Amino acid sequence: MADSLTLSPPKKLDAGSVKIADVSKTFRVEGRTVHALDSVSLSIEAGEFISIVGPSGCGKSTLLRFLAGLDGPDSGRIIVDGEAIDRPSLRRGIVFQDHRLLPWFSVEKNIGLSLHSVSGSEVEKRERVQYLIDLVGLTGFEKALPHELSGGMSQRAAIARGLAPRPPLLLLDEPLGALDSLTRSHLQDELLAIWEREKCTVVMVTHDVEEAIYLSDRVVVMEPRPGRISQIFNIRNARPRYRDDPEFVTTRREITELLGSQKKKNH
Amino acid sequence: MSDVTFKNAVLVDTAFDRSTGRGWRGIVSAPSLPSWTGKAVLGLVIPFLVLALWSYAVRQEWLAEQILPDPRLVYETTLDLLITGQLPAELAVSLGRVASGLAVGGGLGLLFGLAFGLFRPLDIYVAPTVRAICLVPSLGWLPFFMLLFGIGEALKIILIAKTCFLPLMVGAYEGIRSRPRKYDDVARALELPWFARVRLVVWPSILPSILTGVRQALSRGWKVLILVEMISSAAGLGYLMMWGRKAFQLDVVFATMIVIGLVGWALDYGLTKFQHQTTGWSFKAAA
Amino acid sequence: MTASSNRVSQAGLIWRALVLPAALIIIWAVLDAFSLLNSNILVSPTKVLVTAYQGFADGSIPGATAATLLRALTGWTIGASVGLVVGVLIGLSGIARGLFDPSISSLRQIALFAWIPLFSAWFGNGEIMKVTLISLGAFFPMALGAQAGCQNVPAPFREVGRALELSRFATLTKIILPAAVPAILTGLELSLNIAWLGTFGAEYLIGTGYINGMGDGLGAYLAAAREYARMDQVLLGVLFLALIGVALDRLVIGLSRRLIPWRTA
Repeated sequence: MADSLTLSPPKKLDAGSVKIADVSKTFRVEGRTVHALDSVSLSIEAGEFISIVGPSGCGKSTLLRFLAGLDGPDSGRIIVDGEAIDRPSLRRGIVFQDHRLLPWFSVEKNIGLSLHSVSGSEVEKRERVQYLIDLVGLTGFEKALPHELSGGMSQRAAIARGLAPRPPLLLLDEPLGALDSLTRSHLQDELLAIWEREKCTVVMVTHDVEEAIYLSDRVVVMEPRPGRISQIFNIRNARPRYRDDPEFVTTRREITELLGSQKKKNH
Repeated sequence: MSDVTFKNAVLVDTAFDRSTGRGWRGIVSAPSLPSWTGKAVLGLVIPFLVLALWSYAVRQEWLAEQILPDPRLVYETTLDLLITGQLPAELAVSLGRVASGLAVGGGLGLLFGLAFGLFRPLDIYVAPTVRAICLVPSLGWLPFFMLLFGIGEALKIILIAKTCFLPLMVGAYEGIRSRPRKYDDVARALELPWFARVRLVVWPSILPSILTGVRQALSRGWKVLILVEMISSAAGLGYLMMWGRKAFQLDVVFATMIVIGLVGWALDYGLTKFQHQTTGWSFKAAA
Repeated sequence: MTASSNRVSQAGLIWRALVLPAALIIIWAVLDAFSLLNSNILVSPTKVLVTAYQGFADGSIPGATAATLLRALTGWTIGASVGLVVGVLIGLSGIARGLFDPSISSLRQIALFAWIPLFSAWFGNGEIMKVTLISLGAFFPMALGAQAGCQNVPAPFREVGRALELSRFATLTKIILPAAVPAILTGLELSLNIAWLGTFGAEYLIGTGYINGMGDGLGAYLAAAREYARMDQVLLGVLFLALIGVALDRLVIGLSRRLIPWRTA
């Protein structure tokens, strides 16, 4: 059953810290051994916004699934708020790239579904759902079915579903990857607003370097074969950030060059 | 049509239904008709011509009256059979048989389909035999069942049950096997307990193909029932029709045919409506 | 159906699929050996084999099968041809659709066998009545398939025709009909199924003597077998009906795959 979550706003401000220690994972693909992750270690402070970027095959999505508790590593430990992860939990909300809203439920019911295992009265839950619908700008679409929504709206609903049980840690797996660039930059600002309001820790996997710099406190760059952290960039610019700011441009070039050199190394 | 038990028929029928149902997408070269009334008028041209020719043939006495009754007589007989309650009574008998056959056969089919879909060993060892048995069309079983169960009420129910079994078995099985797995991760991440997972995530995803199975089962069951009632029955629509034929009262035969067609249509239409209401998402959702 | 898992090979699946039927036959034979079977209802497996041998020796089974097959194929050819023409017409022309579609959709709702009393009054119980019935049964799926196929040709294909400035006739023969072929073939298969079963149903119903007459074919063979409570013959007839039905189905699918390679596209 669910951890003792409460729907009411006050919660410990220091919740949502993550410690990843020496995590490794190998897969067997067609008889070959693939090192998806090779002793990866990373500490994330409560309330941080972290992005993980890297080419496909660097293990960034695998790492996120470990954080969610959907899969487990071969060796190493992942500790969130002092507890080792061994299964999925509502304390760690996850938003998938392909929104994964249940097509047979309305927006309202999809968001409400994540409160199914949370204790609390029906009225309280309904209020929370309505609050989130307003927060992600879907007011008026409560009864809409997923197929009636645009890609951007579906992703907003999925983010609301991830946020509903007030998880101290929110995991985003390329949440904006399938959207057009206009919707995308719009949702990036909304994501920031939501993060500032909900005060949760966010770990986001993305392949968009600019998006990572625009949003995050730190950008973790990973490299493939074997999956490792190659460098971590601290982004100190105050928000709101501007994409044509000299510092922004410099950081973006550094990260892009780092990713480019990985590509050369691997070919 | 007749009862078709070959497995590809299940898919084919729905494909046709769907494609003809969403004609707006496929309307092609020719200019589409102006309005609903225009369509109705155009659609009535052929029935009207047939009726006119029929009346003319009767007036000219081209055929004996027993072979081609006056359309007005058919109309009067239909009304008569309705008012006296004979037709509703026979209809009730027939519908009752279909309902019990569907309940027994469809229920078993659902159970078998779910079991084959969920338990791999059953699917490997038992399912091929069950499928092979189902390959023999219901109609083929008729003489076998008649020897085993006689020609009483049991025969009709068992034959309809056999007919309804396969569509529901296939529906439930395919529903489970082609169920989108990606939602399982959602269920785990949201910490849904086992029962909620089945009720809220698994069941809704297989419901559309089960309902399609029910629709198939009903339409085939109805058609098989008419035949078996014609062969051995003292009640029901098929019996009424056969009686009309033997007594050379073709007006009764026509009246019964109309009712058989209408009921077959109503069953299918009603279920399609129900399907759109309960699982409308599955017709629109892009995978 | 037998989607091979990564653990069990295809051969392994077939082997496992045969376990249950083999067990059932063994139980059947053992029960028979200890004469625990009520021989009137559940005959012995050897008796069925003997009957099969006799049936082939005196030509009654091949004769019945040939009669049914010939009848089914005749009705199928007529019904499917008319269905193809009407279906393509309805699929292409809005006027034809408006004229015929409501009537065809309404008549389709009447169960095939419900036509038997009427047809037998009009055409008697002979060959004309049976072939008419079978043709009618084969007509509907073919017309529906052809209509669906012509109506749902993907728009990009049509645009190719327009871009190449093809004439109406060229558009029909080079784009619309080839694109409609998969749906037409499905209609063809379905109509063969119905023709086969419709033939059997008509023969059986007439063979039961409820409408005067006997006739020939597998249906009549089975009706007579049931009349004399010959379970061995009933089992044999049912088995034949199913086997030939499946064989016909496979034959048409196989031929159409070979003739029209783009069907799966």
